[in-house]
Amino acid sequence: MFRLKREFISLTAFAAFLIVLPLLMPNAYFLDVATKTIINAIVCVGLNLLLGYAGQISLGHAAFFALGGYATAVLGSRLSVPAPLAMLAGAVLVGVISYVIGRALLHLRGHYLAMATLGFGAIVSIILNRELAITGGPDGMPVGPFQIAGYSLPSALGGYVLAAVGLFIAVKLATSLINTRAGRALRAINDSEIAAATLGIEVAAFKVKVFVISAIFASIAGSIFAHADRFITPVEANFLRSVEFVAMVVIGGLGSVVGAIVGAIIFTLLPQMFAHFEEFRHVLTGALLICIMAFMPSGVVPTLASLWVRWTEPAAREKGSVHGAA
Amino acid sequence: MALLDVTNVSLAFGGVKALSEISFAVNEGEIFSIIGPNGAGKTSLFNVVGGVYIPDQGEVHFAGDNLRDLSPAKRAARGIQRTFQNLQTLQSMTVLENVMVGMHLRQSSGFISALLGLPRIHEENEFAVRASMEFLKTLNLEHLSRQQAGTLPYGAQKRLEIARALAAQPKLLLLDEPAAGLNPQETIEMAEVIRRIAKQGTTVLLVEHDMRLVMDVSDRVFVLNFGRALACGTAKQVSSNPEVIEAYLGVETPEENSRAAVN
Amino acid sequence: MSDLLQFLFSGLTRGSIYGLVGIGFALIYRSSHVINFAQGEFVMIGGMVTVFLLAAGVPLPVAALGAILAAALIGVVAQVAIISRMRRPSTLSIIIVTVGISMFLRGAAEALLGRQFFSMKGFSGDDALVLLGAKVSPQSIWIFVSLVVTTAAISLFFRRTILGKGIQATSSNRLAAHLVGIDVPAVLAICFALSAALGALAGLLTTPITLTQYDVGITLGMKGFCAAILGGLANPFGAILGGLILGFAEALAGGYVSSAYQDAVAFILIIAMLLVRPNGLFSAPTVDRV
Ligand SMILES: Nc1ncnc2c1ncn2[C@@H]1O[C@H](COP(=O)(O)OP(=O)(O)OP(=O)(O)O)[C@@H](O)[C@H]1O
Ligand SMILES: [Mg+2]
Repeated sequence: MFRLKREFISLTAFAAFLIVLPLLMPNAYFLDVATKTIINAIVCVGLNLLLGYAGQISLGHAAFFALGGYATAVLGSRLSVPAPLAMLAGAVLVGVISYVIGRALLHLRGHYLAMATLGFGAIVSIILNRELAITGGPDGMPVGPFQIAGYSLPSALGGYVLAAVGLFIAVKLATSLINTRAGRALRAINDSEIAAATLGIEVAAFKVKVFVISAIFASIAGSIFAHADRFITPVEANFLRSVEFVAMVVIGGLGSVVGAIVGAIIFTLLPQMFAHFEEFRHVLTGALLICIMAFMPSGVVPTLASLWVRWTEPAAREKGSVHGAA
Repeated sequence: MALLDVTNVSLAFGGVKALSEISFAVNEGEIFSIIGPNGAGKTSLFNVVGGVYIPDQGEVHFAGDNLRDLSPAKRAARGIQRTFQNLQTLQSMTVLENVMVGMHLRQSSGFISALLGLPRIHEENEFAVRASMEFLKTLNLEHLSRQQAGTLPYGAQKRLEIARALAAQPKLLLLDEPAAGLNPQETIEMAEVIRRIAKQGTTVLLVEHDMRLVMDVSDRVFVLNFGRALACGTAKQVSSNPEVIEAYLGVETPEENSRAAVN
Repeated sequence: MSDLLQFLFSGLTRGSIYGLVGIGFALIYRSSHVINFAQGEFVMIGGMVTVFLLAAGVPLPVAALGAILAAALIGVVAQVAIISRMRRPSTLSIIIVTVGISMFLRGAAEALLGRQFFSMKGFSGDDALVLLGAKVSPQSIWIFVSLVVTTAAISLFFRRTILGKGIQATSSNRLAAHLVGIDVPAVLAICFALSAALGALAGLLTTPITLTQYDVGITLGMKGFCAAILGGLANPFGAILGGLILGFAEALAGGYVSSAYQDAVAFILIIAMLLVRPNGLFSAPTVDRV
């Protein structure tokens, strides 16, 4: 009961934060950065279920993101399918594709999923670049605003609202999962596949399911991105984008919803800060990645959290170690 | 009818014949021990029964069914549980959560109801916590329930694996060296635990190097040496078998001292 | 017929380059179970350093050697100063770190050299030879010969030298290698140096044909990675075969099927292979111990 209440309070605070944030933004540029950050965070919250909980590496989530975006662009803007339906269609398409990939490959162990998703992402990226007639090729294609029954919010704010609603739902779903039979099964798989299987967990099936769920999160985020940016290009499916998503989750801290969001914030905001040294942007980002991994290998949020515990509760720590020795 | 029936099982790793034509049957309610020197094939046999290794030859029947095509998870669903010689606790999860994962097969909620946070999830969780605490009590671990499993000392992790396996309410429990790393007092308690498990109706298959424990709890003992069956019978019969004495009991003491280091 | 031959020559050239890059992936994976996403950047460094040394008037053999040594040095620094120092490294954190190194190197090249292409003359000129009715650039012959020589050298190195055996031992069991007195950290550093050197060699060999730019490492790195996966990731010689297979497949697909989708061949191949033979075409499956 106590836990439920705390969860409710944090979610409400989070919602309040999302509502207030755009009011604090001094101009459209900052609002746009906030929107992009939130969209990345949606992908990360989903990807964290796969990476942080089930311990499976995907290097192709940008492809799911782009597929969502292009579903919205092609169906919604070109074929005039209502925006929510186009978004849904993208999610279903991505769900089916990720299910097929997952079914075929997730019973394998080690780096196989990483390799296969890398290959899949590259293929999607090539298709998006080459099929000019459908996708507009490397130049990309324009996307309309998110309309429901012909009504839409003003452009910049509309993108933000859509993204914020998306992230709130994503966070709510992800936090609900953690302390449940399915959530525990995922974490068990991450700790020891052999133990999980021995306890009756259908390891491959669980991996496939969480892979599909995380792919759908990415697809929805991609659709939101297309509406928010009013444009989409194949760059979104790029291998480097996939790696960025993984980097965000790892930097923030695996296995923590807050970590996924913080990772998205760090990774989206820092390059903006380096924008003044345009030509050094990539060097600095690379150096930053290396430093964070070198000094905080478990990620920013878990590292800071354990520092916090150490400073504020020396007594609790001692008690813990007495238990450990007993 | 025997609960577990192993017939003519052979298993090789490259040139190493880990198991050669092994056959035995374990009756319901029995405590059946498998002993043998290091590398005799005991753990390999557990892996064959649990479905981790597929034998090159031979069959394993459980409650009358051939287990051949069943994955480890499917075998668990039939009622087979095990502990591991090399610990396989869920390191990043709490002690309580480890045991809650042990209850996986007894509950049924899936991803959809979990993501949506349906009310049944909370009922399920509350039940799992209560039941898991009972199993922790059985193994004297309840005071550690909130600790991360990975931070526990070796002996406590061994007991945690047993609690976790029991949470699945297995028909057959395979224990791989449960007393390794325990002090004499803890070993005596472990014997008590094993007897209690058997008394509650779970059949126990025990691999153990501590001869006193084996002789103390076993209904029957099966001796392996270099992957071959050497003898099978009551503790008394086996311990007076000259071949067994030569192959195994004769080297018991120095080996026992090195166990903790090896593991 | 002469079309086919033309495609085969082109496949051989591509394949040799992919193979050289792929060996680097395999060497590092074997010794330290790291997929080094920075491998492609050494290809870029190899080409760039050679171009700039040549421009400074250094003769080609010295420039090439300089480029290879520079890459090897950077490889060692990356391993010793960063990768080996990580505490409790997980697969993921290592992936992120190598990606960070890759971004850093690529970003540095971008900042220092800009985004333009750099070119280099073929080692033996750029006039194509005609062989059995098909045109072959002399550079392709250099590339193929380099692959053969490198393969032979590596295989001798593994079988005949103490260091090579040390690498073998370290990859099959790190702890045991340590116990018999092998300096494991040194071996790991040398593997990185060797991989970087091979990547640089591939880069300087291919630059006369493909030109070089700050970001050529992304594509070539991915192709080399595919070659290594096709070969079974842990097997350096598998990577060479994987590279050749990939090169031929690309050339033939580009010639006969669709040039627009030539670049997709590598990825289709790895996915197909993961489905059919997940441990690579030339590696035996392994069993985990519990
Ligand atoms: N996965 C594997 N790959 C290769 N060889 C193996 C594997 N598993 C077991 N073996 C070999 O099979 C033989 C039997 O090993 P096993 O672990 O079953 O012995 P054990 O009786 O459990 O020994 P211990 O008392 O040391 O636990 C040994 O020679 C071992 O090296
Ligand atoms: Mg054993």
